[in-house]
Amino acid sequence: MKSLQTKIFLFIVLLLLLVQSIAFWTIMAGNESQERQEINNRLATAKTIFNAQFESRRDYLTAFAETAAKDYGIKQVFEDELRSLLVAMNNHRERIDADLAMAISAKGIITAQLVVGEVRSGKSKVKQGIERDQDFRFPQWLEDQEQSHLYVVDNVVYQVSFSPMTVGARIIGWLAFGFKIDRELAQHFFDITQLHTDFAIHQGNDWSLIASSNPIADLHLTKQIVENSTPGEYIAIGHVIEETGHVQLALAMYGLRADIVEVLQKQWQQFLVLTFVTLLLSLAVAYIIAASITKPIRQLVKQARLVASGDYHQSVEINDSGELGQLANEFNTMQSAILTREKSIIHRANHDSLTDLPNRSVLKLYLQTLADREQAFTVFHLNLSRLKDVNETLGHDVGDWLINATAKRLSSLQDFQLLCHVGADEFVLIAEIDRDVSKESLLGSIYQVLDENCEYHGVSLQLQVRIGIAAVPEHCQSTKLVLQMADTALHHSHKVNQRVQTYHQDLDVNSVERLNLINDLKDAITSDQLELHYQPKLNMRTGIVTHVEALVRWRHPSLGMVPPDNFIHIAEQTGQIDALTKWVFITTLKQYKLWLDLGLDISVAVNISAENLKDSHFYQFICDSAEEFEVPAEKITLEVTESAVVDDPDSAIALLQQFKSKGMRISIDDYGTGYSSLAQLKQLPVHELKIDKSFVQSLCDDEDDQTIVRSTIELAHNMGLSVVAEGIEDEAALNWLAENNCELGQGYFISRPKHANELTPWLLERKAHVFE
Amino acid sequence: MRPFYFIAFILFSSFCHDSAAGFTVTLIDKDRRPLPNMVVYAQPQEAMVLPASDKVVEIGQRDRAFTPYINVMQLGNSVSFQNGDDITHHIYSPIGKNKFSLRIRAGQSQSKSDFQQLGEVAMGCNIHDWMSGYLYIVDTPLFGKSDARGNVVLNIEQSGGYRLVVWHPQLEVEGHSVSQQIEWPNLRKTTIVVPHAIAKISKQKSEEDFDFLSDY
Repeated sequence: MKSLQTKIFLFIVLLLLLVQSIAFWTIMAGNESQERQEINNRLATAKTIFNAQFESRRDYLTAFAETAAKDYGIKQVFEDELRSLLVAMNNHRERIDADLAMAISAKGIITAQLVVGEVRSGKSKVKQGIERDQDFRFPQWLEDQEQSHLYVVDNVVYQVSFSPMTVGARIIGWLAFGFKIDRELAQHFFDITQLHTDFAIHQGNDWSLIASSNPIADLHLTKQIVENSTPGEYIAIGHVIEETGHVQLALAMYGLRADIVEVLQKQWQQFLVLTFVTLLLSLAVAYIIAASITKPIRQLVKQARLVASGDYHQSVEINDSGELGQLANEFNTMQSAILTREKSIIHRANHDSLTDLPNRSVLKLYLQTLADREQAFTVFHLNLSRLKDVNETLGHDVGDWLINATAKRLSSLQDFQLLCHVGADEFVLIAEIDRDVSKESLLGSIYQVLDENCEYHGVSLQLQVRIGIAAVPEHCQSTKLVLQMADTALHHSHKVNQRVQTYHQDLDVNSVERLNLINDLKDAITSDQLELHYQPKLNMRTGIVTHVEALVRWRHPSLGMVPPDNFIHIAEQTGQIDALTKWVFITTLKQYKLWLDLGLDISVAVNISAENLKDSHFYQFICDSAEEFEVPAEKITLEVTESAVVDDPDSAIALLQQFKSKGMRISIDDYGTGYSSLAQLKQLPVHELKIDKSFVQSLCDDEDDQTIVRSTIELAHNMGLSVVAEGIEDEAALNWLAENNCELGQGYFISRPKHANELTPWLLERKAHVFE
Repeated sequence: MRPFYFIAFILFSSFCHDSAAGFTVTLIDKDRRPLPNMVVYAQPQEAMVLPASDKVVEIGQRDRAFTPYINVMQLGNSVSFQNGDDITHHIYSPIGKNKFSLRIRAGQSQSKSDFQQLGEVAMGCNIHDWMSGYLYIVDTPLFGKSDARGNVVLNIEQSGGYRLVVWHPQLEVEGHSVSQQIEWPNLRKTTIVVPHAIAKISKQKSEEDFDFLSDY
């Protein structure tokens, strides 16, 4: 991925290149056209100069020939002896330094011819030409108006002008004068035009180079120029002077292109260097611009990374009043805002929102630091009792207020290193052990600060707590476990109704195995690990066992017998209660049939969970199963706890009503331990109340329990309900209940829950005994 | 050499008049237009004695021109060059045995009777290049110049064969002349069609004439 800097840089570079290229091409095109123009001009000028000079020479010759032809002196000797004519002709020739002089008679015979021949040492010498007394080769020239011609004598080319010599209208002969076309002429043109000049003639099929200003002249090049196919390294112009039927004079004027365009080339090179330097400078500037634009952005990016990594202490300083400066300021503002917010979030994450005390995560961290320091410490796990009561009776505001009050009181404690609020009504206090303070005095100080009642709008509220205690390294080494241990101790204090419980290993058995149980329970039903035990219910009046309550037991492969309290709750929470209840129900119905076959007509009671009542198919299942096993509805009792109805009273009551209508008996289990009101009880479609064993176990010794049980029986009877008492552990209690008209009794005194295999003989025996 | 065509139509007259009238020659060109100012002479073909001509040819120089332009004479006659102008002329002919050179002052005249060669004598003036004149020297007294209608009468008297020659300096043919045989007096009259063109006769006038002389 390209960085912004690279992008900007590339963009500017592209732009520059584009602009430079356009400028470059424009100038180059201009330059080329200028060069072409200049060359063309130069060549055209050279040609013009040549033509002008050539014509000027011709005109000069013509005028001179005409003048000479009219000279009376020469006319007089024209037909005289040759010697006189030659001298007269030479006399004229010398006047213009002509290279050729010629007299032609009226009959077309060359009567005299003088040529200037080169001799050694640069001097020239006049001699007679070779054509004397020969017929003039081009008689038609003499009749033509055109007086100038190219004439070749003895391989020398002359530019010649003819003029007739007349007597009156009669032509008596012709005079001709000519200049050589030679190296001197070529050199002359070279001097003027600075272009080399070649002269070549074409006679028959042969070309020959006759003169050139160029010492290394090459006929091939001359021909190329004349044929208009000049090699690229030359600039040249060619010209052919035709002489019909006689000779072609080719002129080539040329120069090396390099020489001609040297100045232009030099300018061009300078321009190229300038362009290159400009481009380099531009690129450097572009780079600096790109870097300077993106530098603050890079700073911001770097800063953003720092902020992302949690470093809020650097700030960005950009000396820019523009957008980037503003961005930097906003960035710094944002950074401090994030810092504030993060602090607040961290605080909120680490503190309870209600009491603003450190929460469980702080606790864990703190425990970790203690563990790192190998510090011995004690954990006090506090639970504020009766908070639920306060919430329900006085409202949650009061509950919260109460929690806050507790937190404030606990905060004032000096001897603890940490106070955490770890749950709605739960606090944890940590005290390091090496302090010179005993566990007892610490406990005392806790009780002391909580001792005084709280006043809330005239209501006096007692701050009652239960405390679980665990210590490192006394109980374990792990900081995680120590919390769990304190928790376990606290739970135990609930169970045993104590204010304080210090952890010991025995408390922990169930909890430790709980996780395993969750997994194993899934297999328990299918792999036949569950079994049913039945506890008989005795008719107090007749002394006959008329009912049994089915109680499930789990024979765990490795743990042995697991009591229902330990796994029913798990089954409810993990969605397995439905299967469990159905298994219990079906098994019980089967057992009913077995007993019936043995002549034992015993009603069966099955415990129904709150979860079962929420299942819409449960009713249909019960009815279908009863029909399937041909068990009369009135022989089935469904035992439901008060709390099972509390969650959703309306639908629970409706369902129970359906069961009742079907003819089944509904029993309220553990009556007296819940919070159900009498109004609710009134509405419940039940047949009997089952008084909780906690009221029965010590019935004979506790008058309060007697009062409760007696009034409950009376209440039930008055509402048309029968009463079952469970937890009968001695004969006195049995008798007391019988006296007080309790209908059914259940308990270890009568029989503990037994497997059907064990119970059946017992039942048969009892039946026989009764009939005796 | 240019091809030479000579076509002559000789028309015989069936009605012959008196011999005293002489031989009449009519010259026409190929377009049948009369040809004036042509030299015509009859050269006897047999040995016969003819009385020599005693004419003096007068060649004047008037208005800086030879007047007349064409002159004809029998060899041995004399020529009188008469300068009718108010300036000097330098009459000359540089060719052959008849070459001469005469400086003739204004209003004067000079004679020359020593021409030695038959044929054309081209004359010029060394002072005035445009001036051009011809003297044609024949060896017979039977000569003349055609008039405006192209007629010329030759006083032929002796019977016999003659070569009839027509000459003009600008006649574009070899020797500037054409000829034909005639028999006198069988034929008394003939018309000669000259098929050759006559080249343009340059005017005897300065191309850039000037008029300063009258300012004296």
